[in-house]
Amino acid sequence: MAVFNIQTREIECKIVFYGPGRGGKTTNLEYIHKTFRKNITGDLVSIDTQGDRTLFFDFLPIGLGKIKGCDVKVQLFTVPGQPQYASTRKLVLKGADGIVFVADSLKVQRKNNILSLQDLHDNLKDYGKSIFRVPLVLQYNKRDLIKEGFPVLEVDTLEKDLNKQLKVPSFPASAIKGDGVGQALKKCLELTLQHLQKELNWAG
Amino acid sequence: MELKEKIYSINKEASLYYSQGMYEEALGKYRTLLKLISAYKGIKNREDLQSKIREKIGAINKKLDYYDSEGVYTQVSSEKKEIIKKLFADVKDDPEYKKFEEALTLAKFGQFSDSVKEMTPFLKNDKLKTEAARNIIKCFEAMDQVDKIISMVSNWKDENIFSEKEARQLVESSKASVLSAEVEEDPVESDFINEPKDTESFSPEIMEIDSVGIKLTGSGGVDAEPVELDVSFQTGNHLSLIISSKEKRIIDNLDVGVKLSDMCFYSPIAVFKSTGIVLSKHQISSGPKKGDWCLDIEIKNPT
Repeated sequence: MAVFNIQTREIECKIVFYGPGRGGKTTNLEYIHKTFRKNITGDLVSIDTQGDRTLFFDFLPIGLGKIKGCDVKVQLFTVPGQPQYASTRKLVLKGADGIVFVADSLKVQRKNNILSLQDLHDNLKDYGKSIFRVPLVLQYNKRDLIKEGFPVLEVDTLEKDLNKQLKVPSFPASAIKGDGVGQALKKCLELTLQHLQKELNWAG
Repeated sequence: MELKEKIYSINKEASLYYSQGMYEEALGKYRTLLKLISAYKGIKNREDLQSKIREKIGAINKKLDYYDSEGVYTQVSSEKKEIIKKLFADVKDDPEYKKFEEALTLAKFGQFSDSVKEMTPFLKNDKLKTEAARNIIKCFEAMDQVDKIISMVSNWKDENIFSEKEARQLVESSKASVLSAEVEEDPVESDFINEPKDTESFSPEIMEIDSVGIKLTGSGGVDAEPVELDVSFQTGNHLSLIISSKEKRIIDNLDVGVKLSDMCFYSPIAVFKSTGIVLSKHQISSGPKKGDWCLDIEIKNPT
């Protein structure tokens, strides 16, 4: 949940990268950490990993500088994607102000994408939030694998599977190359800050 | 597609899944590949290929076994525990309560031993000791050390941290209830702890209920958080509870119309489970309990 300090004109919000296991959520944060150096206000912390699977969460604090007279700080989190980490995933999601849903474009992940989005819907509902109202963007990751001839879902298929009802902004991406990462995050931040403006009226 | 191309394509896909940590998918592809190669006897170096694929399958199985054996939670470093506490423990003005929340957060992230260590001092805190005890018990349950709960609760009773009745209730609400005979001093009271076999005979309309256990939802924990409340007045299956104004979390969770799907009722002769509904809620405006809240609950469908 966003914290707005009226005295210091400082707003801190939380963006969560959600999605199926092995879909590239951590790679997104690694790319952000590597690329947007001037916005990074702390280390990328991974708690904890088993091999290269996230067991708990990754955390990266960033600063957006002054927006409408307010110092905007953002905490980026990833959740563990594997089904067995359901309780940790729910804990990390708590208080999220915006969500980047990282879907995996690989055909073998089609079902896992849908299950993960359903899981997000259920967890938000448990926190009294609607997936239709929360600031949310979809990122269709691993698009670079098309060129290498791997079985990848068409964007249209992903849209039908995941975005038919939500109708939220979506971005083809390749987190490993950085394509679409910044755009998805930027849009998510934009939606989140607009939402918080309505809720907190922080920009006056 | 030519056989050679097919083999190349499946192998490439399997390698990709392996490199991305999608071991189940990689395993499936390598098995398909093995079947395919086994079906064509004319393939050059067929046995070598089969052997290499079997090696890969073996390596993947080892990885999967490793992940299975590791369990859901692993112990993290002290530094990372501090980060977990900083990021996820609800910040409270009261430093003591903050410490309590931190201990609770560690348990939520599977750091059970540390949570027990940090939670134990709160057994001396009258306000928090019951919640602390319940969380310590949950940690031991999560660590599959249910047998320790009985002796631990017994010690708490000996040290006068909890009364006989409180100790029984703590055990009853845990998995250790099946082992609870050891806590019992009076064998006649054994029904008190164990759930009645014939629940039909325990009608809430004729039983006097001392206290109720309610699982709160929406408090942000992994599981619903149980709280125990004393009954101040009872008429049939309608119970009145007085809740201190300090218990904001409980008050906020129990609005009129809220269905309580998992309730425990403690009476002098038995403990039973049931559901309930909040009928009314109002703040007491005068007298010694001024400011506290009165809650009326109707018991439904005892099971």
